[in-house]
Amino acid sequence: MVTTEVHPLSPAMLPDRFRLPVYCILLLLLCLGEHPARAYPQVPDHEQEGADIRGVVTDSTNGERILGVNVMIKGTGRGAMTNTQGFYIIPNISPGTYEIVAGAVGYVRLARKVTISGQSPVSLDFKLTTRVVEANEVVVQSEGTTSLTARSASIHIVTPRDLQRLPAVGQQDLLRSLQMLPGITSTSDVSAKFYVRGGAGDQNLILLDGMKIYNPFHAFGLFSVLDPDIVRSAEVYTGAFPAGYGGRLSSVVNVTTKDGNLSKVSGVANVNFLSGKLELDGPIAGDNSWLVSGRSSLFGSSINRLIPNPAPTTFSDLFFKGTIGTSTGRIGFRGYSSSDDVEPAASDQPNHSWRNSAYSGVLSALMTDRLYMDASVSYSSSKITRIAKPGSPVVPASSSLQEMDLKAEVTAFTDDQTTYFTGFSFEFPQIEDNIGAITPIHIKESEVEWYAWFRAEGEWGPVRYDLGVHSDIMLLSSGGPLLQGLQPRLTLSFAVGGTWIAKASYGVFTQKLITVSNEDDLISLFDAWLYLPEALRPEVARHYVLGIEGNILGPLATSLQVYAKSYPSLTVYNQAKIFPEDPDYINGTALAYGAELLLRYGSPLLDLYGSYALSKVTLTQEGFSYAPRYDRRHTIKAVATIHLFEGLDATLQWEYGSGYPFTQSAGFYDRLLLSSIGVDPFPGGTPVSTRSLGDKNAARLPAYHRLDAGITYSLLVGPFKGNLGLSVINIYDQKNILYFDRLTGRTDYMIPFFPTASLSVEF
Amino acid sequence: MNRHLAPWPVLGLLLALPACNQPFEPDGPSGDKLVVYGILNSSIDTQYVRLSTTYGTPPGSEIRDAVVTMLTPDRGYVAFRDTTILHINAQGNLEQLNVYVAYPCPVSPGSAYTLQASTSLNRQSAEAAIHASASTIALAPPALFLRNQSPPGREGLKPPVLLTSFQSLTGYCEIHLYLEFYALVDGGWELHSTEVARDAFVDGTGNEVLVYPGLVLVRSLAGSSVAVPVLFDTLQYSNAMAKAAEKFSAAPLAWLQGEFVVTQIDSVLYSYYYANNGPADLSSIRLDRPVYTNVANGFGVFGSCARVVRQFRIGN
Repeated sequence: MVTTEVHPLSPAMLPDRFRLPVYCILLLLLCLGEHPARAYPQVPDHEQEGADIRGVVTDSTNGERILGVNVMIKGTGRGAMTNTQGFYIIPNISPGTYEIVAGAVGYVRLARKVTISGQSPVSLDFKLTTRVVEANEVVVQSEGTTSLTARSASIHIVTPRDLQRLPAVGQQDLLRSLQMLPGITSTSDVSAKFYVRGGAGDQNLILLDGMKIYNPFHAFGLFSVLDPDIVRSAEVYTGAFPAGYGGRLSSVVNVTTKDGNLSKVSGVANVNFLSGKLELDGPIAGDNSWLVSGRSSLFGSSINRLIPNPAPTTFSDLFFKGTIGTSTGRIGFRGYSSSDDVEPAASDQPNHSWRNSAYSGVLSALMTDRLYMDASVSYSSSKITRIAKPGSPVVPASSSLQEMDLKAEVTAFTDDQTTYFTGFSFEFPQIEDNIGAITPIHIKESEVEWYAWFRAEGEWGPVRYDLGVHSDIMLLSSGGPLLQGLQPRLTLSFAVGGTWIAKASYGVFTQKLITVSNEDDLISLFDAWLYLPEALRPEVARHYVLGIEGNILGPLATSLQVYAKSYPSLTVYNQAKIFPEDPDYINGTALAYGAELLLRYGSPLLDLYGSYALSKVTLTQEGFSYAPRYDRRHTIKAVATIHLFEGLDATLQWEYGSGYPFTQSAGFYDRLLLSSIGVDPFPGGTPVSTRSLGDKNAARLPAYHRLDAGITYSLLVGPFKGNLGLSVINIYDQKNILYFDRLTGRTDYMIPFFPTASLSVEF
Repeated sequence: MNRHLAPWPVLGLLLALPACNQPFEPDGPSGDKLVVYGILNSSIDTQYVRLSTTYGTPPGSEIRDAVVTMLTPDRGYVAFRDTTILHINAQGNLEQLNVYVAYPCPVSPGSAYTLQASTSLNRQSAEAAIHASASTIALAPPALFLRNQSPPGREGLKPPVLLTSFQSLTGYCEIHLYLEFYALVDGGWELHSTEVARDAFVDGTGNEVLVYPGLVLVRSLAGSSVAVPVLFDTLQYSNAMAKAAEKFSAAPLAWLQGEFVVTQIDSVLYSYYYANNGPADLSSIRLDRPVYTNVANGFGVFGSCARVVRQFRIGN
C-alpha cells in the first residue's frame, strides 16, 4: 500500500479549486526569486553599453506618487512614463551628462542633470510642484497626458482637478463626472449607472485600487460610493482596453487612490446638502503613510427633492489605506465598506439594503534591475437585500456575491525600450441568490476564473504599438473558441505630423457575470449578479476603434474617434418567453457603432471642453431587432470654466442628449381569452379591451438637456484652506422625463431646479 | 472681471436652450392593425373567424366589410361570409356574434391552411396548420375504466383511479368525462349529463371544491403517437352519480352512457392560451405577461383543434 504524507502547509491540503492557483503563484515566485533572467527577455550584460536611469516621481507637497509623468531625456527623444507607483525606468543610457525633464498635467515641469559614467543604475527621483501653487497656467495637452493616452485609442485620464470644476448635485462624484466624457451616458439624472458606447450597464469593470466594486452606488444610484477626495486618478477605457483587463465587455474604470500625506497629518472635512465627510491622512515614519476617509448621509430630505416617490434614505462609506515604503518597493493594504438603506413608509413597498466591502493587500517592488512586480490579493463582497413588510405582496429576496482574487503582474524593461507585461489572475466568485418575482428561488454557485496575459509595448519605426493577449484559461480548457479564449488586444499609434497622432485599436472581450435586472427597468434597485446559465454561451464583444488627436491651434486640442463594437454573443432578455420552462435569458447579438469628437481649449482665463457623440446600437434576438433603452443617438456636452481671479472659478455645464427609445401605446384591441377552449373550441366569449403597444422601442422620448452652474472659491486662512462651492442644477428648470405611466398618464421628471452648496476645509 | 466676458452671450444661451424642447408623444398611431381569431375544427364542417381592428378609444370596432379567404392544401380558396350567429358558450350563455363563416368547409387533419383577410385598411394574413389527427385518438375499451385499475407503478393508490389512454400528436389536450342519464321529471324522461371531476379538496371554509380537467401539456409526446394515461378518480366518478341522484332526489334515474370528450389543440393555440390564461412563472424575474400572436403585424390567433367523443355504456 502506497501512502503519501502531506505537509500541513502543502497546497495539497487546499480544496481543489484553490490548489492550481497556489501552485502557479509559488512557481512564479520561485522563478522571480531565483531565475529572473530566464523568464523575461533581457539584453545580456556584455551587450549593455550604458546604465539605467530609474526613480520615482512624487508630489512635492505631500509625497504622493504621481501616475503618468513623462520623464524624458532632453534632446534624445528617449524617455519613460511612471506607473501607478510613480516608478519609471529609462534603460541603457550611454555614458555622458544629460538633462532629464519630468512633466505632467497640473505640475510644473522639472529638469535635473545626471551624469552616467558606468553601467550601474542611476537613481533619479523627482518632486514636482503643482501648478496651482506656482502659476495660474493651464495645460491642455501635456507630454504626460499624451503618453498615457497613446496607450489606447479610447482612454481618458480623470484627475481630482477635473472633478472639482464640475457643478455637482450636492457633492462631487466620480462616476457621475465620467458621464461628461464622450461615449458615456446615463439614462437618468438620478442614476450614476452608466452605459459606454452602446454597452449595457453591467459591462463596466470598476476597480478601486485593484479591488472590484460590484454595486458602486449610493441613494438609488444618485451618486457613487467613490469619494472623489481620495482619488488620485482614474483611468477610463471606453473601448479596446489592453491585456490585463478582462471579464467585462465595454469599459474599465480603474481608480487609484491617494497613499496619504508623507509630510504631515492633513485632512479634508466637507459638508453639503446630502452628506458630511472627513478624510485624514498622514505619515507614520519614514516612507510610510495612512489614509482614512468616512462619509455619511446627513439630510435625507434633500435626496427626497431629487427623486420621484421619495423614501427615507441613509448611506455611509468608509475607506482606509496603509502604505509601507521599502527600499525596493511598497507594501500596502486597503479596505472599503459602504452601506445603504431605503425604507419607504408605504406598507406595500419593501425596504432595501445594500452592503459592499472590499479589502486587499498589495506588493509593488523592483525585483531586479529590470523587473518590476505588482501582486495583490483582494476580497470583494456585495450584498443586496429586499425586505418585505408584513402583509406586502412583495416577496423578500437577496443577492450576495463574494469574490477572492489573486493577481500578479511583472513588468520587464528592455534595452530597446520595449516594455513587457505578463501576469495572471485567479478569481473565485461565490454567488448566492434568493431571487424570483413571486416565489424565491435559491441559487448558489462557486466558480473559478483564471486569466493569464502577455503584453508588449514599444516602438517599431514610427509606429508605437501595444499588443497582447488576455487569455481566459477556463474558456480555453473547456474547448471554447480560440479567439475568445486568447482575446487578442492591439493598439497602434503613430505621429502623422506636428502634434497629431493617429490610432487604431482592436480587442476581443468576454463576460460571464451578468446582472439579472431587466434592461427596461427605469431604476433597478435589485441588481443581482448571476453567472451565465450553462445553456448560454459567454458574452463576447469585439471592439474596433480608429482615431486621430492633436492640437488645432496652440491650446485648442481635439480628438476624433470612430468605433464599431460587435457582440456575436450577448445575453438578452427573452422577449418571447411564454412558458415557465422558457428561459428568462437567451443568446442574442448586437452591433454598436458611432463617432466621438472632443475639443478642449485652455488659457489662463478660460477652459473650454466640448464633445459630441454619435451612437447607434441595435440588439437582435430570434430575428427581431430593436434599440435598447440606453441607445442615445446624439449627445453634446459642454463645460466652460472661467478663472475669475486667484481661487475663484465659475463653471457652466450643459448637456444635450437626443431622446432615449421607448415603446408607444398604439390604441387598444379586443382580446379573447379563450379560457374555455378545451370545452368549447370556438372563438367566442366577450372580448377584453386591451391596450396595444407599438413596435418595441420604436419611438423616442423628447431630447434631454440641462444647464448647471457652479462657483468654487478657495482661500487660505492660516494652515487651513477653505473651499466653498455653490451650484445651481438645472438652471432653467427643464422638465426632462424620467417616467411616464401609460395607464394613468402620470409623468415624473428628473432633477428640477436645485441650488446646492458645499463647504470643505483642508488642513 | 474681464470686460470681454460680457453676460449677454450667457443670457442669450439661457433663452435659447429651452428651444431644444420637443413634444412628447406617448401614443402612436392606432387602428391600423387587424385582430384575427380563428380556430379550425376538424370535427365539424363549419369554420368561423372573428375580425376586428385596433382602435384609439373603446369600444372596439368589428369589421363587417372584409374579404376573408382561406388557402387550402389543394391550393384552392374558401371564402368566408360575413354573418351573425347565436352561440351558446361554455358557460351556457347565449351570445350573438358577428363572425365570418365558411360552410361547408371540412378541414383535413395534418394539412396546412392559410387565412387571409383584407379590408379597406390593409391586408393581413395568418397561417395555421392542423396537426391534431382524429384518427390517432384512440380511447381504451370502457371496461378498462370500470375495473378500477391503477396505472403501472401506482398500484395500491387510494382511492383507485380510472385508467384509460389516448394517443396524441400535438401534446396539448383537455379531456372531460361526462355521464349521461335520463331523469323522470313530471312524468317524462329528460336527458341530462353530469361531469366527473378530476379531483376534489376541502377549502379553508370547510366546503368541498371540485377540480375539473383543464388543458394539460404532454409536450414530450409532441410529434409521436404515444399513449397518454388518463386518470379519473373512481371516488369522483361515484360522487358525480351521487350528486345527480341528489339533484333529482325524487326522481328515478336511468344511466345511459359515459362520454369521454378529448380536445386537442395545436401548439399555436396552446401558446396563445397559456399567454393569456396560464399561471405566471413564479420563479421568473419577469412580471409582465407576454403578448403572443401568430398574426403577422396584428393580434389574435389562428389555430386549429380536433375533438373526439367516445361513449361507453354504463349500467344502473
